[in-house]
Amino acid sequence: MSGFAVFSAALLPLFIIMVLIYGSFKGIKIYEAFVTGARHGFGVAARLVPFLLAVFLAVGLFRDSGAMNLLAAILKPALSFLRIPVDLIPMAVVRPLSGSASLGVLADILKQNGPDSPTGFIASVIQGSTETTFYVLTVYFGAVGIKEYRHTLHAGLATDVAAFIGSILIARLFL
Amino acid sequence: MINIIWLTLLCAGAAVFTAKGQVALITGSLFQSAESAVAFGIKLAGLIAFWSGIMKVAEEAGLSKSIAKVMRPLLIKLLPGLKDHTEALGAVSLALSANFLGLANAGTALSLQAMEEMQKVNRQKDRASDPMCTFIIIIMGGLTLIPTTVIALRAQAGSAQPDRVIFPTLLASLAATLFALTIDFLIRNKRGGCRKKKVEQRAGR
Repeated sequence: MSGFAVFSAALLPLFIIMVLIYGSFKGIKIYEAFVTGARHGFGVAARLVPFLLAVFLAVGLFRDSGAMNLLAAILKPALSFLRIPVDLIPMAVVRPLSGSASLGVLADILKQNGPDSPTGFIASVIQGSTETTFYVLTVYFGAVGIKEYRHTLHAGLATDVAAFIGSILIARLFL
Repeated sequence: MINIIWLTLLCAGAAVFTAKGQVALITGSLFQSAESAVAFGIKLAGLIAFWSGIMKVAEEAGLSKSIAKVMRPLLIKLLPGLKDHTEALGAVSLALSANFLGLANAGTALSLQAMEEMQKVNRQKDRASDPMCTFIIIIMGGLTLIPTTVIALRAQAGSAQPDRVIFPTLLASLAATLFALTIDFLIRNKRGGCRKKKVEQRAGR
């Protein structure tokens, strides 16, 4: 494990313990406070499930049917014109829709091309520097009952495209 | 827009299944997804409840206020709408920090907490407020210091240097976040006058 990984692994436990110790030091009834907060958290989670359901249904059907691969095949000429490696295309299609599916795609690319190959390296950077836009929007807004998303969807999709292209360009500098 | 995307995904999925002569598999896929959505929801519920509990302790101890105070100068520039709302600022700081550090699950739970705090001070409850939009757009920019999951996957795949991606990922996600913030800034300033029109349109419908 690298220093970074150790740091990252130790961070959460340290933070949690620090909060609890600081709380009791301040004379807070930490047990009661924790339970109150957790009860509230369950309410949030319960409100979330219908939105998760909606996203999973649509993305699941799109993926299981092979429509996702079909879209990747359609995009192929345009992306290879832009000299984007063909192996990265599924990544571009899947990433905004589903985090777990894109991790699956990345694992597959790493296996096929090797993690230290140019394609494997670029794919890793793409996965790390992009977000699951569709999921973030529906879940975050859904949890608090927002119906009007305003410009966030368009901005999110534009950012996905920019992040995808930017990741390829930047990753190439490090090859 | 979200309605159209949703409908397109479902119709395209059903159409491809039908074209392949596998109509029978459609219901199976739907039920499978329904099941995994609930399973995922339950997994998430535990995490969200846990973090809500911890954050409640932090809030009562005044800790989220102190964190908000430290982050305030930077955050106020990004989210001027939260200037007078310390609790929301504290929640947003923690959520952004968790996302920045690549703590995916904690990031989601803390971000939902931040959304809740921002919803408390949102005047129009079914419409995203300016700070909410900017917050979500920062999240979608995906600024990441340590892409923990990717590093783990690379290590698993036998990479000689799994963490070689850290710096390029930081650069790429920084560029994406700046891009996202610019778009957010441009749209919000251009559309400032449109807000009223939209509300009227909806009332007229």
